[in-house]
Amino acid sequence: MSRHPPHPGAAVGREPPPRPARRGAPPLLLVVHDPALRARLARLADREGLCARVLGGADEALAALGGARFLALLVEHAPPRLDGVSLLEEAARRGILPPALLLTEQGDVASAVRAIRAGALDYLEAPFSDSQILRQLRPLRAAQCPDADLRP
Amino acid sequence: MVHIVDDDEAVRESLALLLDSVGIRSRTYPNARAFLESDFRNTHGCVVLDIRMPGMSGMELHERLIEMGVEMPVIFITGHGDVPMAVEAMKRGAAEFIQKPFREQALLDCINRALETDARRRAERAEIDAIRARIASLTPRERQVMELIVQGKANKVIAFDLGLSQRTVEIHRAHVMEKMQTRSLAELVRQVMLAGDLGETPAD
Repeated sequence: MSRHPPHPGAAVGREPPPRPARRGAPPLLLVVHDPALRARLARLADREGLCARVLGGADEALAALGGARFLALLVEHAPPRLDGVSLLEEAARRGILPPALLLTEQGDVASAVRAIRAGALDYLEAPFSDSQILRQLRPLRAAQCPDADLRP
Repeated sequence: MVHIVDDDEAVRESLALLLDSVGIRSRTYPNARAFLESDFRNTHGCVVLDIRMPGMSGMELHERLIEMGVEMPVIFITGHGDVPMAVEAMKRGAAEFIQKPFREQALLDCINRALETDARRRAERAEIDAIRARIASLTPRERQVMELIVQGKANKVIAFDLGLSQRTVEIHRAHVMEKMQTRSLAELVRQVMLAGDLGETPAD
C-alpha cells in the first residue's frame, strides 16, 4: 500500500494498462479503502481515458497531493479505516485540495456538511451511479483540455 | 437579530427563549411567506430555517433569498434531514445544516458564527462602498494618474505617459492621496484592489 506505482500515471493492480491520457489531463487521485470500490473507480477512470493513481491511506494521499497536480481527488469516507472528510479538511487547510468528490457507503448529515464546507464538489452516498461521478469529472477534464473528445 | 422560520410553534418559542437567555434578539415567523413579507431586509443577522414547512419549504425559501441577493447566513434545522438535502443546501451556500436532536450549545455556536459572518461581510461591503465613493470623487485625470501610480510607475514615467509635466503629475498625485484618504502607496493599492474592477477609465 505504501509502495507507489513507478509514476503517477501507472496502472493499478491487475487492471489492464490505461490508454494514454489525453494531452494535458492530469491523473485522478483515488483514495479508497474498499477493494470493490477501488476496482470500480479504476475501471471508470480507464474507460474515460484518464490515468489514476490509487492510494489507500490519508497520509500517503496528503503526501501525493503536496507533490503533484491531479485532475480531481476521489476519496472514500469509511471511518474509522479511512476518514475521507478529515483528509479533505487537512488538504484544504494546507491549500493542496484539488476538485474533490467524496464517496461513502453510509453517509451522515454532519460529515456531508463538513465535506462540502471543506470544498468538496459533491458528497455521494451509496448507491451512487457512475454517471453521478462523471457529471463532476467531465467538466473538469473539459476545462483541462478543451479539444478533448468528450463523448463517453 | 435572528429570524426563526418554523411552522412548529413550540420550536419557534423554545428557540426564541434560548436566544433570549443569552441576550440574542430574535423574531419568529410561522412560514416562509410571513418572513418574506416582513422587513427582514432592514435588519442584520441570520436566518434559522426549518426544512419542511407547509407552503414554501425551507429549501425553496433559501433559493428565493439567493435570487433576491440576500446575503444573510442561513442555518437549516431539520428533523428529517437526509444527506442529499444537506449536500444541496451547503452547495447553495447555507452556513449550517443541523439535524435534530441537537445540543442547544451546538446551535448557539452556529448562530454566533453566522452572526459574526454577517457582521464581517457587512463591514467589508461598507468599506468597499466607501472606497468606490472616494474613487468616484476623482477627476478623470486624477483617476488616470492613480491607475498608473498603483502600477508602480514613478511620477517621471507617468508624466511621460500622459504628456504632462512632472510638476502637474505631482499635484494630481497629492490630490489622489488626499481624496483616497491615504498617505501610503501600499494602502492606495489595497483600496484599489478591494474596489475591484473599476471599469473603463473615463475619457477626459
